[in-house]
Amino acid sequence: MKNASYIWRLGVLAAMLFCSFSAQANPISIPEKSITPEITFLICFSIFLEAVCVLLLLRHFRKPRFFALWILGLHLITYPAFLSLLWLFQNMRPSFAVTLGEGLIVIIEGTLIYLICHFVPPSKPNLSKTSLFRCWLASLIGNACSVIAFPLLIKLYDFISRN
Amino acid sequence: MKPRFIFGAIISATLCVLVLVICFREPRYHGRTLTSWLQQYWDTSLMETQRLAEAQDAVRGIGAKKAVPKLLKLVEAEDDPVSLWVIDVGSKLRISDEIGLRFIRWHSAEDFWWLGERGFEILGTNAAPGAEALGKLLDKRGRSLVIERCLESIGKPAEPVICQALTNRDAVIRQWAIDELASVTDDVGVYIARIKPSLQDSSDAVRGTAVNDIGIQTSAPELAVPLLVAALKDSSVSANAANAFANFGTNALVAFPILTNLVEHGDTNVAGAALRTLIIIAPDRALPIFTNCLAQGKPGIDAALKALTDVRPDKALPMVLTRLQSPDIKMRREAFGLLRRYPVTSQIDSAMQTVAADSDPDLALAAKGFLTDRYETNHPDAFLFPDEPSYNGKRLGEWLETRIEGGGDFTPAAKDALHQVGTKAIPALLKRLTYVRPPYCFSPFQININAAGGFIALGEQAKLALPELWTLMDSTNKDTALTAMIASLGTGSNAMPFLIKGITNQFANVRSLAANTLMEGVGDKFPEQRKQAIPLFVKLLNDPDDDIRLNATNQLKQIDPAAAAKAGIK
Repeated sequence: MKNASYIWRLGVLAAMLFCSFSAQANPISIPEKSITPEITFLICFSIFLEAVCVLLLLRHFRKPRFFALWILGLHLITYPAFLSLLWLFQNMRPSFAVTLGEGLIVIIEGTLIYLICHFVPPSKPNLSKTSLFRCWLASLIGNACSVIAFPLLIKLYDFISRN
Repeated sequence: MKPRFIFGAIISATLCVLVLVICFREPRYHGRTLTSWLQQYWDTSLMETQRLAEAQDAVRGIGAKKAVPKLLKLVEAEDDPVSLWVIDVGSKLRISDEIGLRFIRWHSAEDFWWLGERGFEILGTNAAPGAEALGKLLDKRGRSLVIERCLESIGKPAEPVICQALTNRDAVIRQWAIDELASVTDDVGVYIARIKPSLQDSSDAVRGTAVNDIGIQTSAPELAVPLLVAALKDSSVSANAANAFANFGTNALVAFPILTNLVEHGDTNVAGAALRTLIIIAPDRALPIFTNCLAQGKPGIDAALKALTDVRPDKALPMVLTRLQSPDIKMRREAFGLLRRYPVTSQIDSAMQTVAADSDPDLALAAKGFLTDRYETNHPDAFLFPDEPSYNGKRLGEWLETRIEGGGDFTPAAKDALHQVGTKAIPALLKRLTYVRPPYCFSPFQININAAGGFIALGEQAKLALPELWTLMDSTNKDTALTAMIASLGTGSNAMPFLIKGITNQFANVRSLAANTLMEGVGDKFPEQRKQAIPLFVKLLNDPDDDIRLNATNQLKQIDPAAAAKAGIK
């Protein structure tokens, strides 16, 4: 019964991560190279990298089972939030807007990680609880890693697609 | 743990608020930021006057005091590598662009500059407090055009800054300053005194601009002429100075000896300019010099001859007529251009008829066009078709010209008139459709196409003319073939054979229109009959005309994808 519940939760999470809603529009088709694989590759890898960083930084602290999936899942909130912030800041200089957006996302993600670690039943209750500042730090390092890796990932994708 | 979390939450909330305050501290009007109003002003076309006025009111409503600091920030914006990278990646991943068609619209530094410029344009002289800061930005690379435009918008209050720009290290800015100073300096004497030092500038272009601008100060000849005389000694700008004297008429006579000397010893440009000026300022004194140059076959005398046709047309005419006989095509063409400026006399008419038989086809065609226009002037269209029917006191020709304002369609009254005249109009319409204007059989397209429009308006009543129109489609005159096909279009399915025939016409314009009309016009209403044209569309894929081939490719794909695929179209 317990296993079925986990499978159900995993299923919901996977559905949230990988589902896509078709827009009922009638666009004019302009022949362009599809960029869906590139975007998928870039976003998945950078989020994955961020999740690995957070996991490593919080490995000695109390956290829920499938913590990696929780981290991936919280991007369902934070990634659209990041894009919305960029939209909101689009009249600023792009570098400033991205820095500001990332900064706010670090705070939001750090806070969400803290809440996940504290309020979701842990897999190892004997470990000590993490602090909010540590969560922010983990989020900061995770996001920094994914931001730094982003240009490298673009180059990597170009290299893979060329060969 | 709980107080810590609360403390952290307070810090994060404070940070968020701080960020929002930083982001949205821009001046606002009706809840929208200055940048957003400027963006509206930038994006709106000149036709949408209401939206433009709304943005202008908003920027003025914000006021110069609040707006100018922000506008200065906009024109000061600099690109940084990260921003450029973000713009590039956003565009590559199709998340953002710089024109607002995607989710995010990033602005490069240049976009910000132009937004700022719009703001200065709206505020005009009210933005004067920003002039000094703008002057400092003139030295920044790449944005001088924007800053110049901002200063131009400020106008008179920017006068000191523009004066300073006369000594800017960039020659282009110095040139701009010389030009722009004229619009902000009230007194011509002051203006000339200000730009006088620029005559000694190290840059030829700057000195040339100064000479040109002094050369148009015709209200102060006592100040300008001596400076221009001095400029004649500067070989880089002597042609400009020589040309400029022409604006001063008899006030420039003092320069006659120097100009004469330049005609003799100056290089081609300078000598040509000096000769032209001599003709303008003293035609009778200069005529022997000019005749001498002409006899010597000196280059660069075309401009002088043109000037002579203006000031002494009678003296110039024999020279123009002689040049019309020249073996040099270029010279004949120049002479023809001058001949057109003369009022038509029997002598000119005779010369034109000679040119109409010139070996240069373009020149001959131009002369024929001239003579045809002349014929048209002497034989107004209104009297060309005296026997045509009338309705309600207006003749058929008048009804055919009664169109909806701004559109090509007949007015309801004209349509009604044509219906009332009915089949009685057909002979007159056929006459108009095939009318060619003497003496060179040029098709007056407006008369022909109006007749075709008349047939279309007659609708089914035009069926009686179809046999005639069918024959006319084989005409060797491309306009007649085209208008005959167009004339059939009001007869419903009867037009389909005409269009199908049109696809194989010898003239590209007929084939093109036939294919297009089969695709989108009449042909769309009779898809079954259109199928007969599919083999002909396949043939159009090898048409000698590029556009027809290209269109046929798309048309065939649309009408019959299977046939298109069979023809090798992917």
